[in-house]
Amino acid sequence: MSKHRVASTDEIGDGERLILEVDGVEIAVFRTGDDFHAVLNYCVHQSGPLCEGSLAGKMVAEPPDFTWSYDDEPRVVTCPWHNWKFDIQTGENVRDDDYRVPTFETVVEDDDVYVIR
Amino acid sequence: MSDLDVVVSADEHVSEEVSDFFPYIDESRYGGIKRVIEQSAEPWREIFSVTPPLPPFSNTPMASDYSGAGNVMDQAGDKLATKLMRLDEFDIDYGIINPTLMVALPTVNNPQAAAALVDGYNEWVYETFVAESDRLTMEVVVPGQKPEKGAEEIRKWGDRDGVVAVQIGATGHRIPVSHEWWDPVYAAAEEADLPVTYHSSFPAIGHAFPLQHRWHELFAQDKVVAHPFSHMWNMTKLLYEGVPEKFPDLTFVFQEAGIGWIPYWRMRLDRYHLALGQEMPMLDSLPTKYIDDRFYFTTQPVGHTDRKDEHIAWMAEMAGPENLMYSADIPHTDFDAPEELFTPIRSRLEPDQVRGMMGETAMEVFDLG
Repeated sequence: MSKHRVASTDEIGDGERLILEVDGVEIAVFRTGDDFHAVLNYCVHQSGPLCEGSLAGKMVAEPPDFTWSYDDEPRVVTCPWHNWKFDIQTGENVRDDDYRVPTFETVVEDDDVYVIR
Repeated sequence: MSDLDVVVSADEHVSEEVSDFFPYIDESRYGGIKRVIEQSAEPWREIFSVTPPLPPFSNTPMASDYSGAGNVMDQAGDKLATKLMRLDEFDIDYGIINPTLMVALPTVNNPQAAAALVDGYNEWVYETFVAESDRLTMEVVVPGQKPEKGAEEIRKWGDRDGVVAVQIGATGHRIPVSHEWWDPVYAAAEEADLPVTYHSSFPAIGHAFPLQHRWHELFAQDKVVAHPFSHMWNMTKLLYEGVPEKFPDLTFVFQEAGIGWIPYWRMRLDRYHLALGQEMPMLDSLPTKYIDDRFYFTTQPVGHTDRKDEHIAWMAEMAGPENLMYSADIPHTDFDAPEELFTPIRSRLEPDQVRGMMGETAMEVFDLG
């Protein structure tokens, strides 16, 4: 495992992402607030460019009445090809956690963002 | 079939007429509507609203026999003896009784009539068949026209030996089975620890979804379309609207559409859940996982494969053998003898899967024996 510098912190705005090649694979680094999350730019469904899709919150419905509410924490990326949705923090598909995309650890040091891979 | 410990038909029928269970309708509660029902010369048209494009099963022994195939097979001395004789003929150990006439219950426009019919039918079946034989069990029929009456019937009959399920019906409901209108029925079934069953039916197809009385020219078209289309729609709505989450201890059984539609529909449900799941946030896994855990299907009619028996086994494998239960549908003229299912699967599926499909799964789902 190596530490790869991908950007300075001010190069990625809040709610935005940077897509770049890291050690031979295409990875997106998303920024939400002061946190950075790295996700493989690859949808496990049909190999689409997952991380080029929108980043948004998600619908939630809890018992007993299952009324829909909206969790607006922007942590769900939607594949632009077929709308599969994944959590950028865990890599899990939000509809069924049996499906997941690879995620990578990130660190921030001296205003630089690194991906561990 | 000699290596099977038990054979269960998870969908058997009685051949009832209104006159059979009319005396069992509570006079003190339904005395008024009883008088009206009694005056009907043709209950199928005047109490029920059955409007097929041609007479059902014309030029067969079941022609226009709305009470169900009285001429298809030999008759014994009475309806109980006839039922048991037919189970014996096909080496079936246990039969779970559904109605024939009353599968058209959703077509009854008058809610008092629907409630009265249910009141009489459930008691008649219990007293005539279930109380008289430990090989026969019943599904309590509930009226969609009056869900509170349905819940009342479940509470009345649910804890008696031999009462093993709640029959909701699959075809012709004007209010879909996923709607909260039905919540009293589901809550009562869950409380009574009884599975809910959805029996599709051609008599109700002229009334409401999946097809109203318009463009079908043949009775055969009703028969082909009614069963799978009813289940496809109901299952889509039940799952996508989160009914299994709302009633987490409930088991769901779909009857009389064969098994070929199941693999196709499983794939479609999962595909569009993954793509459009933001509309169904109450689900926390793929629809097929709910199906695997809590949905069951009876097998009749398994379908015609032009002697390609392996196709039946493949369909069963794709549908999920652990969720399939043999059903005969005797005495209806599209019934399946046990061999219709057993022969294609016996050497192609695992022995425990074969035993499960032929009877052991039904023993567990319906808590028989």
